[in-house]
Amino acid sequence: MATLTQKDKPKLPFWRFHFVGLLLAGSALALVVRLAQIQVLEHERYRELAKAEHWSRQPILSPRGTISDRRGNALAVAVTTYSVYLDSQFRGDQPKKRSIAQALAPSLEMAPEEIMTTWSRQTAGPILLKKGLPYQTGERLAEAGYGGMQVIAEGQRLYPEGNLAASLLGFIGKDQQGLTGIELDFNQEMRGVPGEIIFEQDSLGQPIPTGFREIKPPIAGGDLVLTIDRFIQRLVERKLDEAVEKHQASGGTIIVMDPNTGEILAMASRPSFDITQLDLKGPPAPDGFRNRAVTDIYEPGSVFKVVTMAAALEEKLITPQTTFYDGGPVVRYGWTIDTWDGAHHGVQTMTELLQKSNNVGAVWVSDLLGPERLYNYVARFGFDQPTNVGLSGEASGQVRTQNDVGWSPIDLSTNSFGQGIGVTPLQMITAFAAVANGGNLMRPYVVKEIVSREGRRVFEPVVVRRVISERAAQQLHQMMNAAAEKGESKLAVVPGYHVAGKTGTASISQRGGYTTKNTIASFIGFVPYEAPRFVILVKLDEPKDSPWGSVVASPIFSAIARELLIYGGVTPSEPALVSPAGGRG
Amino acid sequence: MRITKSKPQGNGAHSLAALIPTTVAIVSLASLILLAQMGRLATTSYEVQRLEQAKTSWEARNRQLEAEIAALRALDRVEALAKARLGMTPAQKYLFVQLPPEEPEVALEKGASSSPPDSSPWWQQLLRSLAFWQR
Repeated sequence: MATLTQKDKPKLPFWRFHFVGLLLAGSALALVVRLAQIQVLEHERYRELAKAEHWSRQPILSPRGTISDRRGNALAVAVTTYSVYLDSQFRGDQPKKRSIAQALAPSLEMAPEEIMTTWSRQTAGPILLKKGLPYQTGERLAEAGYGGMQVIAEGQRLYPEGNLAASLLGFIGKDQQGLTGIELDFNQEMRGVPGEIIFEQDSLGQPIPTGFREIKPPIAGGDLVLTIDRFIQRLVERKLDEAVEKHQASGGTIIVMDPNTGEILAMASRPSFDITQLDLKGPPAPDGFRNRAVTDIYEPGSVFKVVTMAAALEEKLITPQTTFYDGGPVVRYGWTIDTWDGAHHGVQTMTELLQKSNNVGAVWVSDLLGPERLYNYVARFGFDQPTNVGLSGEASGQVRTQNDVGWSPIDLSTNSFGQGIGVTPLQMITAFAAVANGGNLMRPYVVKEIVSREGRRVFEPVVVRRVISERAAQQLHQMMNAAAEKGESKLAVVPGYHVAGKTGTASISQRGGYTTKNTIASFIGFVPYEAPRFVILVKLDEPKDSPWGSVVASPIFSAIARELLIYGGVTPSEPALVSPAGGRG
Repeated sequence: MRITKSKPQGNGAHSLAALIPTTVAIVSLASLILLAQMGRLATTSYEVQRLEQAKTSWEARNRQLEAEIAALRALDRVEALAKARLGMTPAQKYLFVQLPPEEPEVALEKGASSSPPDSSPWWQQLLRSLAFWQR
């Protein structure tokens, strides 16, 4: 048997060693290069990827602030609710889906078939099954953790008083940001700052108990306390709705203000929208969402005679007893101006001018004043600028003075009785409040307080300027009292109390002139006459049954004033209504 | 005679033999303590998470209850209840009762009953009581 010696062993070719060596070295080099690429060049990217895998962030909702009325009654509150979504790509079979649907059905108050129908919808993303689930139900479903279902916490606005003050409050979007009204104007104060939990998670996405965990607590939004009184707001809205329906008006506005502070106690406009069943695609959008009391301008008509009178009284050009001769229509610059009813009464005092709402008399007073003085008072009463009430979209009014292009002398005459001039309802009531409180123009406001983590921010009444003297205001009070109780607006009287006010029946301008079909009927007044507590503006747009402010708006004023005086605990002026203690009336 | 210092035989080996089990025991004990602490940390961490969740839940529940209270106090609801349950109707006629101003005697009595105790010295009080005829 032959044996192989060392010499006989076959020699491997040298190049093979080199080849294997080079292969190994090349592989090692490639690994080193790849490692360098991952660990050095793309360090940050992989670090972020690892971090994303390893760290998790969970947002915490910040509750939006509450809006309440002046007495602390909530008008809008924020609660946490849940939305349930179904996974359209869920891989479970039909029996599995059905069992999940059956488990979900009682909590969602839905039939299992309804859930199955929704789930069978062909869509790429998650399917919204139900939103607005109560917090506890949502928590229960989240704990149960059914497959193919996800529950997400969301903030939701609730309105305990229903649709009250809808156009004033406004609404928020899905992102919890204010879109209109006070929700928009005070979004910064009410929105709060969302918090988050940052934690290390395991491969299943569960928090590692001993791992890093940081909580940034959410900062709750500030609460708003309005100057609005829910009782007055509700009263005003009811009366407005009744009036719009009764007179088949196209819309209307009612505002109640405290003349001594400028606080808005109620503000309602129609048409409006249903804040509790908000439909952004519905017919009122976006026209119906605005707060017409501050955004819309109108020609006020005869209520503006109060401004003309105030100017003339302050300038001492007239007294309540000053007379003029009403002998018929007057012609100014080619235009004929007549009284509203075509009647003429001969010699008339200034008080009778207001009582009868005499346009011819207003023109006579404006001639006494001249453009410079009249427009000076128009500006002093604040008709040429926004009131700065703090609500977005506020219009500044349309006043054309003798210095403006397009002004003509006839404007002076028509402006004296409130035509050819554009004002907002808020401007108009603010001017009347100045007359009521003795001559100080107050800045109107709707937010009384903001209560947040930083503390309480209280808004105080602001006197913008003195417009007329106490003397002129008192004279005007007497004239307006006569106008309301003895004039053509007798329907404005409130049994047991004395009122002061003025009617307005304004023609509506259209291209090339004024429409003869419709009017804006209004009444602005204050009660009680002796020590005004409430100024009330009632304005109805295009009433169909009667065009007159005295017929349409005065009774609404009377009804609201009566309720307000009783609510405010104001003792009647008439002794017949007051009984001594223990007595019977 | 030469005296030499003799080294103790086997002392180093003994020390080493004692050190090793002691070290092992200390390390084991330390590990046990560490494990126990880790366990407690994990338990506490779970507890903290649970409490945080509970806090969030109670806060949300609180807001929910506040909303429910507000809804129960709503004017429409109160009016409906007043009409349906209590049979109330809107007032048609009002009568204001004017209370007379407080009579001076009543005011005096009230003032006397609510006056603070006399803190003047005893001799002044005695003098005042002796001077009753001056009133």
